[in-house]
Amino acid sequence: MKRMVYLFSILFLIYTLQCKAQKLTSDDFGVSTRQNITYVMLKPSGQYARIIEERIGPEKLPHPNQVNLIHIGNAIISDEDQIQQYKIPNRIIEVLYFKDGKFTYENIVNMARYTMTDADALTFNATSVGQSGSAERKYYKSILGGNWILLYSIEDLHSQEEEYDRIDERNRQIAAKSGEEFKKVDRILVGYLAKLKVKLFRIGLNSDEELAKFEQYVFSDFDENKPEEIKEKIFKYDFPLITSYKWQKTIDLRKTQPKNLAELRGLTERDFLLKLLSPDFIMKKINFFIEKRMENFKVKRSVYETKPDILIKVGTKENMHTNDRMVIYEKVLGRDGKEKIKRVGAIRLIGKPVENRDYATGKQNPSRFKQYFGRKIEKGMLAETFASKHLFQIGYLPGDFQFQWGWVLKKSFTYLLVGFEVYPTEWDNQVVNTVLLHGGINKEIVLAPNFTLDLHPGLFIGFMSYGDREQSGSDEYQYKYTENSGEDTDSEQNKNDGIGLYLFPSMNFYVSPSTKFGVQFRLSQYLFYNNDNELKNTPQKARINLFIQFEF
Amino acid sequence: MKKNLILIILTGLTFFGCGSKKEITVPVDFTNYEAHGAGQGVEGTALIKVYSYGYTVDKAVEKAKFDAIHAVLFKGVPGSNVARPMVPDGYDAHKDYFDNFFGLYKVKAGKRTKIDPLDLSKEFNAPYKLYVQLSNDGTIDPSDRLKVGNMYKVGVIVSVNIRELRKRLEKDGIIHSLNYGF
Repeated sequence: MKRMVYLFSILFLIYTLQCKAQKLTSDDFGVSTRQNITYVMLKPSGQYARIIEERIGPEKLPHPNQVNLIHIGNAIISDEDQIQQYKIPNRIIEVLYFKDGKFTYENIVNMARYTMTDADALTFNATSVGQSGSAERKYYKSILGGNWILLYSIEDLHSQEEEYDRIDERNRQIAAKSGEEFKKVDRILVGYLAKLKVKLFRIGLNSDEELAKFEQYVFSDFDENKPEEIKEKIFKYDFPLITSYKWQKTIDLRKTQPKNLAELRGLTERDFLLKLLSPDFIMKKINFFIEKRMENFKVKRSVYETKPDILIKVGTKENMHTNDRMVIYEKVLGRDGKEKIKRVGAIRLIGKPVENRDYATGKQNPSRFKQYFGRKIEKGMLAETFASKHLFQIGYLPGDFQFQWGWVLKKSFTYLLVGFEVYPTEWDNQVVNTVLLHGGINKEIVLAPNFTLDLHPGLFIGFMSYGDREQSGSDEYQYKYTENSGEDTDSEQNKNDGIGLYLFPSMNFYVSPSTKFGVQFRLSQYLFYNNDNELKNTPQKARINLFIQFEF
Repeated sequence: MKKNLILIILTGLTFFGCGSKKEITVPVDFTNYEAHGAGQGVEGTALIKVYSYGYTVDKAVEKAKFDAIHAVLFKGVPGSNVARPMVPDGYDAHKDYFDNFFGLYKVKAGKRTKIDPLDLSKEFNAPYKLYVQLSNDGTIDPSDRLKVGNMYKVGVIVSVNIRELRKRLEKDGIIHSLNYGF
């Protein structure tokens, strides 16, 4: 009973936190406009500087696939101040102006380049016949207000061997202070590590005051017959740069086994590094951070149709994949006369996303989604992408608790779930503490909104140790575990490691886009060598697991 | 045991007891809308942004078309090329004609009943529909969609064929032609 109470308390806490989790405000509510990013690299230093520059330098960073991260060009600078010194913001605004003639759209379809201004301009035209003063101004503001400079650097690129040396040095110092014996770290990995630093600046034309100031300067005494004067004025203007975000992460470029892979393949270290320093890899790291952390770069679209499936005009251009999720919101007028944003539900992309890279006309086909959480979704509601990387699950099996931590790796129709579990259980009439490292695919079938069926087959590697059981209460599941069965539990004799296959189907009930309760039926088959070195093939008892899982 | 029971009940109330049950009511009046100009359409048309109410989003969109014509005829649309009403006499001066034009009454089994303009479906047919259409593919901007009590307020841009509408009204003798008196 106590355990049930604890479980309910956790559920109550999680539910309360979920209610508070919605971050969308009235200011953010609306279809997202494409933002324009220019990538600028800080000149690398150190022994691998030339390789980094050669591999990731200007023009090497690929065009990002997402519509929100289209850029104009790349550059390399020595320090941050050179952004203004080399007039990078001015060049960006100048390109925008001279592309169209006056920051609005004329006719550039024949140029056959898909950029921010093309797509937004064509969409703008497709949605309203002709242009009014207010609509044109809104479009013009979004063109000028959505420009960013992303300053990135790859620093401290060093080998895994050097990393081990650094760890050893730190451990040596700690051991010297504490008087303990120093032990070298096992060298089991090879590869390279580096620090990826990102700083995001916004060109400050996103406020009415700055825009008015810019317009006043550029368009005063404007002579239509002398457009080159506009160019000169734009080049001289002092654009404010607003630091929007800073981010730093240690990235390991690759960790491979066995050792001496480069020698095996006949590669030099330089060749090896060129292979590892993938611009696509760097771009993926940067993009994930931007889309997850920055409101401006989240994809938000209107729900286009709801019957028979939910249709939304997003596709490959927005970097959508099968099984990607979106959260649905709507605006509601409260009794106090204020508009409130309410979360309505969540949907999952079914089938393949529409290929819309070339749809610059605004007339694109929608992708199909299925609702897995929430109440009725209607046309005109706002859909926002929802990304998660980690999941956490805690469950209750009769007599035991289990918890697992996992990583959601999305692939095609299912997602890969890798995690580990620690739980005490009964095995061969003895109580064991089991550590399982397991991984498998998870296929989720939506039966009805809020109700899904999971099929989760997988493989696990178990590490078990015996312990003694002593009944400590009247409840048959109240045990006091002791690690000692008369012998050292860490000794090889008491370890029974093995592998197994499992199938964990479950019926789930979603209480939020990222949280679900489930009843899981656990079926597994375990192969291990016992203390007598005999190979045993033992099915585990089928068990029911009540769990709660949430993603973030 | 008692404490546990209280905890369970509280948890259940938290899950299911949220939300206010009181609703905001919207006056049921088919002149309850807002309209303003949304730019220059092709020659002979006017682009109008209309905010209308309906019991569902689709019905609100249908009502918006209805309201756009109503605005052009009787109120005028500020910021557009129909700033002045086309029928300055008003609805009541030609009530029978406009009841028919807007399809406000239906006859069933010899009985004449008034339709609810907030409950217009896509299949609803009336003469006014010939002169109005949505200006886009039907996509509604989420910022133009608001739930108000048990109804929806939706903003859409419609295109009104004012040239043909004027011709029809002139032909039916409701308004004089522009060169009347010369």
